[in-house]
Amino acid sequence: MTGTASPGDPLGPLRAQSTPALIADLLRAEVLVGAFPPHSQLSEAHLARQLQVSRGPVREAMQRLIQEGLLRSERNRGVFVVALGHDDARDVYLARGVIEGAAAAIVARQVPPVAMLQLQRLLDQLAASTGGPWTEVITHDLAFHQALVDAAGSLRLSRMFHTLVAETRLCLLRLEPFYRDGTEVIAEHRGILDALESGRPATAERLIRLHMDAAAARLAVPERVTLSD
Amino acid sequence: MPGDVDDAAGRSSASARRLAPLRIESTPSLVADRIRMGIFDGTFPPDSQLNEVELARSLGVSRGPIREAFQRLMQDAAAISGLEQIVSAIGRSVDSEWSELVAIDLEFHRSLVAASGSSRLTRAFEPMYAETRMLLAHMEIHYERRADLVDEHRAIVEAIQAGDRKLIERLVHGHMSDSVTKLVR
Repeated sequence: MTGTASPGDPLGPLRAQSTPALIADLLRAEVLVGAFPPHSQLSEAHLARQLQVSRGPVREAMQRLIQEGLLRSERNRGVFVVALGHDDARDVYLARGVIEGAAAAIVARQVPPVAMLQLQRLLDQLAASTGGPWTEVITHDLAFHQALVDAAGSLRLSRMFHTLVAETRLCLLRLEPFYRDGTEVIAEHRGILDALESGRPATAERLIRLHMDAAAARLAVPERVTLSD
Repeated sequence: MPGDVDDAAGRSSASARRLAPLRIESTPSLVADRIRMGIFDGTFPPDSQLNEVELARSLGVSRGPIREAFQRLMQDAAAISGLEQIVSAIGRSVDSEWSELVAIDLEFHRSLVAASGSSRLTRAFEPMYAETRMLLAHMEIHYERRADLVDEHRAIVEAIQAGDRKLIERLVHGHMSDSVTKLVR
């Protein structure tokens, strides 16, 4: 997510963000913590009044979130928070499996040393975060996957992954009960990292697919579907 | 919505439910795989009728998943015949303008991704078709025989029909890396 400083760098990068980008960050954070529940309507005028900005940047921010798949626009009705159903969750993990599987195969062929160290560090951070607030676990989980895709060195693979990040967060919010002790999730990531480090592209790709299938299967357990339909 | 009613009970039994076996593939997709296998190994010869009730009984599932599997197999068949038509169109255009050939070629790949049924994959690939067109507006992929283009795409469709995942992946990767090495200004 934008605005998070990396731990090694106390001040964080100074960046001037546009008003729509700031509003988009704010709305995204609200949607992702569940402050705007699924199916709820977002009013451009109301938000503009609350944020004390004009409606233009609010509209632009809402457009961004529509592109990210967090909001949905209905003609003549307005803009609503999405409710991801079973099929959406399956599709998110299917698409991630394809994109990250391809990235993992590339990384396992090259085994770039710097990226390997970074992935190891991110996995340690993920392991350390389990037991803490779930949103922190999600952030570390996603950071690991982002770094994995980036390690492939393909701008386009990274861009494809990026389009799925926000929806993945929404799915991950619902996975909390299944990962409470964290051992499974750490073991799955560790297995992937081992395959990358030992240069086994086919195994790395297969483990990524299994990791995604497992997540999709956990999301398909009936009582977690209260958000959808 | 049963989800609402079961919510409180569901939460308290969450830890028990975690141990439930993970069924990674849905029943309809497993059924579809079995029927597909039956078609390839000759259990279901061409033009033979598939009976929903009999299949449900022999596979030990209800009729719903069988019906859904039929739907999927029909969608697959429609997607494959769509791809075959595009291959024929590529064949008819080998002597056309390069840009026209590129457009048809990209249509093949767009249909291929769309046939995955994943709206997110389809969306994620979209910008790359525009980029490929931009790239190929200034460069040509040099083929000794442009008809090779037809054969390469046809081979991909045949591998899909045969359900040979390894071959599909090898052919598609080969097709892409080949295009890169054959790029000429």
